[in-house]
Amino acid sequence: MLPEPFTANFLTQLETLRLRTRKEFLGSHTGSYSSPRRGTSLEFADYRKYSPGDDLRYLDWGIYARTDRLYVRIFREEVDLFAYVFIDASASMGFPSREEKFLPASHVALALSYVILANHDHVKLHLLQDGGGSASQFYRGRRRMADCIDFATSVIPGGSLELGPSLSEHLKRLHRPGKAILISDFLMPAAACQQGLNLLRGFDLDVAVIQVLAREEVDPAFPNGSLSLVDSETQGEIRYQWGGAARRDYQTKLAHHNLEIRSFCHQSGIHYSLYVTDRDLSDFVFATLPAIGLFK
Amino acid sequence: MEFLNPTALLGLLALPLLLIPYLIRKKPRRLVFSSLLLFMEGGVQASGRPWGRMNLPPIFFLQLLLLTLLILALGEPVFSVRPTNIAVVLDNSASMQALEDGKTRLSLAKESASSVIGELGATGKIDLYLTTPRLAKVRAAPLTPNEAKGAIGAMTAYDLGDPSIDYDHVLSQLARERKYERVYLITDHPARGQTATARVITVGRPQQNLAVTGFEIHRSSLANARLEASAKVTNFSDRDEKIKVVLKSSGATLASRELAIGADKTATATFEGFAEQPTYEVAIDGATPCRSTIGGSRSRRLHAICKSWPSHRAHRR
Repeated sequence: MLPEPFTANFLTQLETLRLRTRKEFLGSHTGSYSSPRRGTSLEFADYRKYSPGDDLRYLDWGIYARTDRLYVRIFREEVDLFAYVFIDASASMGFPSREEKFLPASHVALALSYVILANHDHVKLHLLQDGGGSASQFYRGRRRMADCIDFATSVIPGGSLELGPSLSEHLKRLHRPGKAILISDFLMPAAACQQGLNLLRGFDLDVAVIQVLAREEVDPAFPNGSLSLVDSETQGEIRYQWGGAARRDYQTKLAHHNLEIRSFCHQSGIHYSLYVTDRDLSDFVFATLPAIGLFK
Repeated sequence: MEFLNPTALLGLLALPLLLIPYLIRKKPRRLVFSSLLLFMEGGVQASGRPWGRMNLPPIFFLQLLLLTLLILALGEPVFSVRPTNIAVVLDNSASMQALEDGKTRLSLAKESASSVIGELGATGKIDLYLTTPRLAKVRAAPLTPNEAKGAIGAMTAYDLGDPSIDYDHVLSQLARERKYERVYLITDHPARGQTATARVITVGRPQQNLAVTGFEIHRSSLANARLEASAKVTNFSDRDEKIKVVLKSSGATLASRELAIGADKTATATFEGFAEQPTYEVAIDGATPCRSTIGGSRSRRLHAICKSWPSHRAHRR
């Protein structure tokens, strides 16, 4: 029995989706994603001159009729996809509570994982935490959804996260290129975000980014007056005078920070989307993610 | 500008207390947030101080101003210039003979009057008044400051109580009718009824105003040798008092009674069954005793009366 919001109806809807990749990868089995290799799929790739020994079934008789030359049709190879879902499990993902931020982020990851599993592709979940974190094995097939849920929802977010070094630890053990989906709040310096994303790109991964923020982070409900704010990850403390002007200032900075990440993603060919956790998950998955081109 | 009630100005010393609620209120509330990345520019690094940055709001200064004005108002400020035509009313009733630290109250009153006159210019005109036996001017013509000081030095107190005068009314009337710029009443009564024109200067300290007004010793019957004594104690003050009346003989306490006496009332303490002694004293505990002597075989009934305070002399009858 899968937990909310993974109802039968929701899963059925997810099965209709298929991840889109901007790159071609070498898969391990026949699948539905283009490979750089030539193969026997129905998708036409190119012509080449006939050589003795070529299968006569691939001869293009129309060209022969027009040009009196023999050409054979070449088709793409279609392979399965290896997808890596990285979930930020640092302390900041536990704000304001695990249920209000980390679990919604996990649910997005699990929804995407189910889309991959339903297409008989491979998915591996990575939890990014202080000191590297943990990674699951590769899952394939719908029946492994329960394992994905167990892995993703068992963790309690904690510790601080340095995106670059943490991703680097995970990427060391990664041997197949594929699709990488990074789910984080990205409440870190933009340079650190860019460093992490560049690492993923450097491993020849097709990257998609989903930024997850709680409503309290978008519009903090602090009482007006003098506040002592404590960083959930570093435990650093600052004094802050909160009020209407400070709220506007914070929201402007947040918008600028998000825009910086979004711009970098667009320049780097990375899918980017922002998910505020008070939004309905199915609305986000079936309306926003297709709109950014994450699904075919 | 002068203040009729300068004691209220001590309240200004309490003004810094107004900061306390702001210091307490300024203690910042501690909140955990996911990341302080976006707060770094507008915040300040937390220090070891338990309170926050002192950033007083405009309402504080408004409150400070209002409190200051309130205290100044309680001080009863009056605009005044140095007066040239004044009246000095000196209380010369019997109570002014009471001693205060070795000086009579009248002496203290004379010093105060000289001080008031000393503040006048050489052209000042002073009318001197005495309250006892009735409120009357000392001399018909106004005095110069030097003459007034000389006249004040020659004044003596009367063995009479205060005449029942409504000073608030009388001082105001004097100032109005005689066109005095200021009228000073120097007395041992608490200062009341001050106005911009009428000023009351109090000398001496208030004292417990109780007295043994009667002391009687008698035998209950001719056949009975048992002695009885009764002492009347009058409370002249305007508040209820609780006292202890002690019967003594040759310094030794024979008996004592607790008495509660209402304002302006008299109560009687009765003593019975004490041993026959040649002399008896009755006293309010801690005050000068009132004495009485049994007159041997001549009298079976002795009667002693004590005059009202401050005199405590007993007369045998």
